[in-house]
Amino acid sequence: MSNKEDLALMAHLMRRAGFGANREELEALVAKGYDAVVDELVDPPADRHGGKAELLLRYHPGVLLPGGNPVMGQANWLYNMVSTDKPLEEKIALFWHHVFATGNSKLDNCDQMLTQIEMFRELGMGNYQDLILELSRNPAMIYWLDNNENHRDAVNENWGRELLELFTMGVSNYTEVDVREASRAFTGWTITPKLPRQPYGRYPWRFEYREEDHDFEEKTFLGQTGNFNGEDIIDIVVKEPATARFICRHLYNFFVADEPQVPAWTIEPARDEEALDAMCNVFEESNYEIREVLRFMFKSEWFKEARFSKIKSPAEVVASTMKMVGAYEFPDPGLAKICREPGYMGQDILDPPSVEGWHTGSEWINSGSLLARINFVADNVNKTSLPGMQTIISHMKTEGINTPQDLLNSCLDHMGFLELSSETREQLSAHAGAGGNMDWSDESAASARIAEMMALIGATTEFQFA
Amino acid sequence: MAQNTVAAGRAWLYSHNIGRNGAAGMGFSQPVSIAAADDGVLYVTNRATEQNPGGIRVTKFTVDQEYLGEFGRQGLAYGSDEPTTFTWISGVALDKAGNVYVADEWQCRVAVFDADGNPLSGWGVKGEGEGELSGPAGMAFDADDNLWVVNSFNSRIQQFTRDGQFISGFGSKGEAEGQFEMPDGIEIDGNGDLYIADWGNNRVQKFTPGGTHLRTFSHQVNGQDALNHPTDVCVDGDGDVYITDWMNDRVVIYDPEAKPIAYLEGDAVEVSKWGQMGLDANPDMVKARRRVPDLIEQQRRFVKPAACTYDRENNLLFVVDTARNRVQVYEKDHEYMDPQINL
Repeated sequence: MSNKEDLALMAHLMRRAGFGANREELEALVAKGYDAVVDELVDPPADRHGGKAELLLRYHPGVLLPGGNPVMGQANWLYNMVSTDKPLEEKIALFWHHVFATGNSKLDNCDQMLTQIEMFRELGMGNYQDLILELSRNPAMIYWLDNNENHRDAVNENWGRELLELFTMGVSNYTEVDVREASRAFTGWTITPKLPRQPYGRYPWRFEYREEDHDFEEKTFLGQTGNFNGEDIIDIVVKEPATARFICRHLYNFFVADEPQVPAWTIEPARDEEALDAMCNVFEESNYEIREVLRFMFKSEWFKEARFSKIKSPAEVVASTMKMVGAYEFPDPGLAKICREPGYMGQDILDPPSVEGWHTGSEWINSGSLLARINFVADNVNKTSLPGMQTIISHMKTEGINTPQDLLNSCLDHMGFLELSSETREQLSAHAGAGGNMDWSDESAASARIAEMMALIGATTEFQFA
Repeated sequence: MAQNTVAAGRAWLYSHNIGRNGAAGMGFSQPVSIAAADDGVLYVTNRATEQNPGGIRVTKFTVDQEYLGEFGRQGLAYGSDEPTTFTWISGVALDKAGNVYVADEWQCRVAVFDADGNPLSGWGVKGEGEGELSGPAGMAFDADDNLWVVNSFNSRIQQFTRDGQFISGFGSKGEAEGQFEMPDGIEIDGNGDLYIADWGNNRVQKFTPGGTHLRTFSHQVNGQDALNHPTDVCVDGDGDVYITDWMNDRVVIYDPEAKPIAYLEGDAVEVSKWGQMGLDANPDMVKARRRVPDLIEQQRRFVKPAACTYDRENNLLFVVDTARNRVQVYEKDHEYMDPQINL
């Protein structure tokens, strides 16, 4: 049996680098050692296969090419989040979906959204320069930011502007002239004509470089002059210190602790400037390897100390709750219903509100979204026949959970070694106390008490934090 | 672009394709199984999506692309006269009278319709025991008009009378010869032997009706299984075996001795009759198609073909091209002679 502090730290890591882990998984991970687990997360062993794609497609063939149907696309991704054995690969895809926010609202083509997410899985922990170059060629992004309308003789600045403002350096680090010149460099980067959706459904979009539509004239970008093409712009921009800071601050905000919203970054200092500087150093010294930044970040003391310092995103609430209760270990019917839950909480995955992505932290919470979060957790922990709930109940029975305090503490541990304020603890203790000691002779009643206590914990402020 | 696929002494000539994307009427929604009647009539089950469950149904049509109707939006639950809808519609098979048997992989039941789609009865008990249904997937009738049902969840193959009385069964979960990992489609050849698509073990296994293992159809390329989650199998009159190699987007053809002899990748170079009707009503789609330089290369290929059946009377192979919502039809020339080399 591992000690509680080790388990709590591992639970923290798995919440951030994945979608949580149950007690059995935590015990096994602690036995491997914290640093070894981090190394496995950032470099998954070759025998890991990711999400159970074959199983999902066999029973839900409609999620393969969902076309304009965002729900089936969301079902596809959510099932991958829950079933994957490479949790950080799925989490980093969610991270880049936040940063490189592309949406089905314009694409009307979830096939392409899923293709982009797959690209994030494959390249998301690799070299940032490779990733941003692939993003420049990604058909969904090209269509989303109108680069297919960016012509030699009629420049469209949408992609060029967002590349600098949202995907690399952030505002205040470039001029309007730089936007124009970057856009000129990406003229001719487009997609091939699409085979229309009738009569056999949509076909993959493909990148195409049209030399005849590219502006080969000289450009001056960030103080450098040359006959730049898109690759040159990326080569210049990834080396800018502002890019390191912008991407590392995104990583910190997503994986470590909530930062102010992105538009405030030029005026609000970072939460931990020292940590951010250290991340930037690793980013630059490793030649922009995201994997190395993640490895460094997860092993740092400031990460380990950052427990419960960020509010869970809706996707995290839903996927981690499904994992905790053991829902959808098999792709049962009902995926189309459950995959809408993040949207009810304010995060329609595959369909962010704009290219700026979602506002995070406390902005996830409003009266409607909070209620949706609480109800979702309550509904699921009340399904006490689900395998995850059965394991929790049986674990408590074996441990001999007896007093109301035992019940509360054990539920907190099974929900991720949560920590409560004294006020919350007092209220939950009082409620638990009113029910007296556990009566295991009536297992159904005991299960119901556990579910009720977990639902109450799910309704606390503390549970909303990861 | 191969429209004819050739192996020693035989050739498969692409004929045409049937279908289009459609949640009702002349179209398919994620078709997952097919059965061919003697009179050129075909039945396809449509899994559809949870988002649009109205598309769950059986489509009836002819090999000549005549749409005959659809049914099965409401089957009969076991032990009840109340209609219910399918959840995971799966296998379809026809008895000698032409009645249509349709499985539901989630509800674990078989619904029976007459050839016009009128519900007749329903049977099946969900469970893991002998004669119980656990994820019924592929189905096929034998020469005695008994129905063989593949239990995908507990890896059992079971034989029933037409009214659902258990007769016999074999199989268990595992990787050994005679075991299965989430099996799917089934075929019965002219000798009464059974072929089972062993989905999770990347192979097809052949058995006597008594469950004695006869042969395994699989091979390796570069140390990897060539088949990737095969979903269905059918056999022609010469004993050649067709396997929908689902995750590889192709059909693999083996000779009767289990030697791989040819591959089909899909040859839908033309638009089907139903598809053309859809295009005629959408002139912008026609215009958009003209812009695509490699249209045929993209259009022709199978995407996740989930099922196949063979019409031994007419030597026609039907491949259910699931993600493309169509059926591709091939004609076999089984007396094919190669031409002279120096032509």
